[in-house]
Amino acid sequence: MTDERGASANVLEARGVVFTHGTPPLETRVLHGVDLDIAPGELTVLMGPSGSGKTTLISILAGLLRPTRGRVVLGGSEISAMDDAEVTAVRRRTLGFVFQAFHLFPALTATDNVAEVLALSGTPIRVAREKARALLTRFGLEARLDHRPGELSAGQRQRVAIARAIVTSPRLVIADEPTVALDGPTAASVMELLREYVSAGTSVVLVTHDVRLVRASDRVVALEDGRVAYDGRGLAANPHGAPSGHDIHPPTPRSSEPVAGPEGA
Amino acid sequence: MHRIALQTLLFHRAKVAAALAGVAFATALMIIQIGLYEGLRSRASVLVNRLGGDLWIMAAGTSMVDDSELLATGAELPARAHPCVTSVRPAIVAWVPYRTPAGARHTLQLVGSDLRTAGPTHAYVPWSFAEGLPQDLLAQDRVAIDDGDLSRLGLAPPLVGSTLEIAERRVEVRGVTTGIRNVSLIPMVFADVETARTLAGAAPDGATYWLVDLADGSCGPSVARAIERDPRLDVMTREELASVTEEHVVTESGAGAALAFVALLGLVVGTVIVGQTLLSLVREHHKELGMLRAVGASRSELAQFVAWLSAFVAAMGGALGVILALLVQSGLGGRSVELHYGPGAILTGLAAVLVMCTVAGAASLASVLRLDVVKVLQ
Ligand SMILES: Nc1ncnc2c1ncn2[C@@H]1O[C@H](COP(=O)(O)OP(=O)(O)OP(=O)(O)O)[C@@H](O)[C@H]1O
Ligand SMILES: [Mg+2]
Repeated sequence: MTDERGASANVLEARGVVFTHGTPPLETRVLHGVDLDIAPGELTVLMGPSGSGKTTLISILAGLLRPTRGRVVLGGSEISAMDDAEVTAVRRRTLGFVFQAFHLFPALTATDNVAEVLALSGTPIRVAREKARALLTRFGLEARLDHRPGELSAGQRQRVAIARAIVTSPRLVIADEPTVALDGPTAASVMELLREYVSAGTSVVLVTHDVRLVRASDRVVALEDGRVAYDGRGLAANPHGAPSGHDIHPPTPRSSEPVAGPEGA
Repeated sequence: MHRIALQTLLFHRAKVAAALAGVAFATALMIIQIGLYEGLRSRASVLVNRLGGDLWIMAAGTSMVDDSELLATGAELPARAHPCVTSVRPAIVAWVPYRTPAGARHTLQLVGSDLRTAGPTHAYVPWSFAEGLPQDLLAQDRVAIDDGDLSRLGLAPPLVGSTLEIAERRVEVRGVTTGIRNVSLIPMVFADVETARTLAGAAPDGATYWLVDLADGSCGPSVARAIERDPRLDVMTREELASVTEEHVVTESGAGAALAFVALLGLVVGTVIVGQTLLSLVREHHKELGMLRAVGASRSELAQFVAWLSAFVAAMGGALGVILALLVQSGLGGRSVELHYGPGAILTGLAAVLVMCTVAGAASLASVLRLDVVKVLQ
């Protein structure tokens, strides 16, 4: 595992992650020793057939599941060796989440859905609301600040959810199928928002079945039957078209910085 | 989390209204039942407390003020001889037959006290005159009745000057009281002790009770010992007689148990309604709560969401319940039912709210503490 920036520079490092459901003899092994490093400012698309273990893997990377074996270091903390309270604290300062189904509080306005997450980490609510409004305004939702999720379109809801994921300035945003519920153009605009944050230094791990999202990615990791079957550059890493360096499994060291910036703001 | 909880409650108004109604009704029910209970107790002992006295001399075995018998002549003499005793007053409390003008025969409760000596040292019985004065009862065969008993006595206004047949004697109504009732709702008729003795068939110096006033409360036991040398006599302090009378009424009537049962039932039903509402609200938000957990909310922060929901429901429902109970009380003003809300009733009502919302919140709390984040977020 050589990395010229040093291991500590990675937002996330997973080593030999094994995950097994159930207990013998009725156990199902879902992950068979996954290694994965996520560098700062990198948008990684995690693909793979249904049932290959994507959701399980990101749950482990986020500390929501404990690996059966292996090590996970998130934001410099070895969460696989921590208790629940410690992992919670690491998540709070390191992670943002975007889900396919948004998971916005139906009773809260767009602003408060974003602000309350910030308030969780101790920011006074007035400051949090200020920041939430500014962020939502940048996301083109200035006319929807006081609307509740029920009054927003799917695309608008997902933009609120992304604002919520990044309002705490997390080092890593994990997104599980964030564009499934959206049509093509809306999905593209959501990707643009994510890309913009990647260029500002945040890393994104994006789980998807949508091959079109590869176009906006710096790196593509494919899981198959709980193993990394492919780990290579995404198309955003090469602005001139076809993927240039297919790094076939096992992965080899990659260039230190993503080549391309975000496409517009 | 309190803001999220409050917004959630406001957003799901219809659902929350059910929980609030549950808390409010259970609280009001609790307060009203205690009010009824207290009302019953105070009605049971009102006669004792109004007649006053430090010690009461009564027939041995007396268990409540309404149920005693005439004492043998001279029962009060040891008391009169005791240096600590300042006065000894007769009282008649007896069940006597009466006949309505229409000819129906029933029983009434006759209360006679010495109206001649009443005034500076002890209050007049009866109290709360609507018509007439205590002095109007000072001649033979004059009585006061309560305006709540008119139909039972077969009387109609004008009351003062009308006549009634009690114990085969014709008596004249010279006073009308208002709001005086005993626990059995049998008519109460008041008279001076002279008239009462005649109607109750007592000797000219007879009494059902002798009320003893003491110069010094600490000599009570010594006075009681002197009187109780006669095995046919018992002595109780006024407080004791009031309390055994209350106990007797409450247990004999089964009212205490019935009221407690209804209150408990209200508590259980209220708890179930609130519990169901909270649980369904919390279940509906499992995904959002899971999301908060994923971005770093602790389990205790999720628990706070439930705690705040419960707290808001308790506060709003409890306030509504107290208001409801007060409305019922004012709506019942002057009826035959009496509600006494002491601080105890209100405090118990609020304690009930606390118990209800705590127990009701427990299931919801368990559901968020056991929340499987990975599962709910899939
Ligand atoms: N509780 C469980 N017990 C046993 N096996 C499970 C359990 N949960 C998931 N699995 C198995 O783990 C494997 C990986 O599931 P996972 O949800 O990670 O796949 P995925 O790649 O996210 O699939 P999809 O693309 O359909 O979301 C699947 O084969 C699934 O059947
Ligand atoms: Mg999945």
